[in-house]
Amino acid sequence: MATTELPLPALPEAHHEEPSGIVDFLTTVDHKKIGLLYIFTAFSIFLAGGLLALVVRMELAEPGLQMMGENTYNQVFTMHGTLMIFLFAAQVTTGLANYLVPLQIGAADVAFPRANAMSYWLYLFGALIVLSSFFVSGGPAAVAWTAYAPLSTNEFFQGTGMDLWIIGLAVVGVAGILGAVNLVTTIFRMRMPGMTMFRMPLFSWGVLVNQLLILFAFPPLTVVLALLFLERNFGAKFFDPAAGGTPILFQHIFWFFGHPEVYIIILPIFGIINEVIPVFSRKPLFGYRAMVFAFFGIAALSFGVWAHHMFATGLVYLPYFSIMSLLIAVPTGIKVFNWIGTMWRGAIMLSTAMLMSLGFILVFLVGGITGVFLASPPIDFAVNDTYYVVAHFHYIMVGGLLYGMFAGFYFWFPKFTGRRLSERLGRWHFATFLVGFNLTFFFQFLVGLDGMPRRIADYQIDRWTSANQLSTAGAFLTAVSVLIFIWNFLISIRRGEPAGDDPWEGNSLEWVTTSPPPHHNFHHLPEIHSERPAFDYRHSPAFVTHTDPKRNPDRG
Amino acid sequence: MTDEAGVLLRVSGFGIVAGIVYWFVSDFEALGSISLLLLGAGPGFAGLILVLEQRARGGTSESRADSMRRLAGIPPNDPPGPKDLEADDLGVLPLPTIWPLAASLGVAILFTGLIYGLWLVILGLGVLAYAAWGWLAAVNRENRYGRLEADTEPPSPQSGPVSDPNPNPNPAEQTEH
Repeated sequence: MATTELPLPALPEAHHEEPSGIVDFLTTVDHKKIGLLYIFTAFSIFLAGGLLALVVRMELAEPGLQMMGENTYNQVFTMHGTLMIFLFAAQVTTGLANYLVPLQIGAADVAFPRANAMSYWLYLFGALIVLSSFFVSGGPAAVAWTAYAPLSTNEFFQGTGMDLWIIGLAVVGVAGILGAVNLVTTIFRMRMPGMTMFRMPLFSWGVLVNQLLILFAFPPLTVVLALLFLERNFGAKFFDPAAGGTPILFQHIFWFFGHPEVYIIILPIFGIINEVIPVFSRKPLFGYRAMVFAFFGIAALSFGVWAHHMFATGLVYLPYFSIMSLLIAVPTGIKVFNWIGTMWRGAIMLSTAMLMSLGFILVFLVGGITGVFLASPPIDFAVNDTYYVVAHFHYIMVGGLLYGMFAGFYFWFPKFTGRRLSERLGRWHFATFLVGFNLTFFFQFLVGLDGMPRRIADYQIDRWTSANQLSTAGAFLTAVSVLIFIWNFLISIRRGEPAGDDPWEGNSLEWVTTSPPPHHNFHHLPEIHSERPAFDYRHSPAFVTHTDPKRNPDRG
Repeated sequence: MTDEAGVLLRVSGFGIVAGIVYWFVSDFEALGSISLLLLGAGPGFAGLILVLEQRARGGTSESRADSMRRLAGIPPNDPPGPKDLEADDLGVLPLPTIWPLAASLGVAILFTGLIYGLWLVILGLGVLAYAAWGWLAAVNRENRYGRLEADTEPPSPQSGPVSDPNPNPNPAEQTEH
């Protein structure tokens, strides 16, 4: 196999003063630093949203109102959902995408580096606008993360907090569209010679499909937020039936964004799992093309299922949305099958990243299968707006997202920093998270099937108490697991074991460059002959002539 | 047709078919049908732009032999060897700049002004306009003078991977292979 390397041209950045410290981060247009800014901001918001979740769980640990009134409770769970879904989940994967996609496709940066920086700052300012609603008269929004009109109109919910919620999310939406244009263009136009679409790493494929979804799903969100803002502040009557409007309009447009949003969040996570499992199974991915087509199958179907969130309204055509929702199980099943096929007879290494990936498959299967039942209208009518839906949703969004995110952090932390996260603390993190997460949400299936409604501050049915107490205990154990991760991060970033450039013997191009990569990403690039260029590179003659005696004892 | 255009046109096809089917089965429900048809129109537009751009560049569609290989699951032929990335402008990075932050601040102030009053909208527009001016000026300056800062002599390519602790190995060792 040819291993000719690609010398890169002189780069301007080597010939001027680089800013340092905070100025560096305020002025950077480097995709890696912007990616890290995204990740740190999103993770900080995750911690804030997690604290709100603990407040919710403390309130629900006992029947009765212990800590707060009902309106405050509504505000707490609304902001919990808002922070987690809009400001954390969709953004942390954008951070990983920013850092990794140019590296994986052999580019020096993204297509529009300055617009990329603007996208991050818009996200930050949008998030700050939403968070500022805690400090205005009346407090933040209290209408759930879905903000259904007419509940969110001035008639039922006054206060500047709701308007700040709308405006903040609109700014975040603009950031998302700007970022999507940038990443899609980067993937379409910046791939190095030889990196055909079907040689691209599956994380980058996941990001491509995720960003295409953002391009087509975020505009409806922006539209519905604009309509709501006009209704609240300028006397429009889009959702007022008495004036010729229709309340169902909000739900239609919102869920045309809202269901793809689930896949906007989860598709890059699929991509992470696609990267981690082959590396730690020491096998190529089983069914690369099937995985790509499954990405597109899921993405396309996700636009055809929005009204399964509206079954209970009685105003949608049930068979169409039921069939389309059930069909999503097919490409998703292909993915799970292929992950198992990849591990089958592989030399599996149970690193923390691999453990997190296995945890992901477990909880995602539980979340996915319970979702299949919800696609059936008779079952949906029975459990709609109960804790069954909350449990299903959190198995997908919390379990799926967090396991995948942590797998990605453990996997790429050496690339970001040049050091490994502690595997010992990682196992503690995994174990406490596995127990804590399932303790929190599994029992919510049971109380949900028993009829416990979601979004209530109080319940007076004693048989639900023990399940709620177990959920609360699980939530605190989950918080402990996150603290273990933070502790692991803090000590590993200073005193972690040096990782070298390719600690896992990875498959994609980011493992060919230094850890952390230089400003322009690569000094040299190998030729691309398959979807595993780093593997090819290691096992090529160039690797054999490697002069590091530790890696090539014959030459020592 | 390139893979990029292919994926966009397939998504477009799905949107159009789903929109038409939904129109009939939902008893002519307008909002969902229009949304799905727009889903078809958006990627379709982008896909057609890519196809037209490829044709304008003189590119040809996939050959019959290549399409047969693709359908049979046989990997495509390896592309030609490496070329100079500078020709594709892939190795030139912009300089750090404050203007994206300033422009975002302008947008955030402008949007917040929709709640708090016209004065804030005007302030936001002012910040945004100043940032846009600064941004364009910086880009212009970089395009004119940026590359003059670069050394006219590109650094000599190192041998071996960048991770190599000894990037210039002993020539005697090299001859062993």
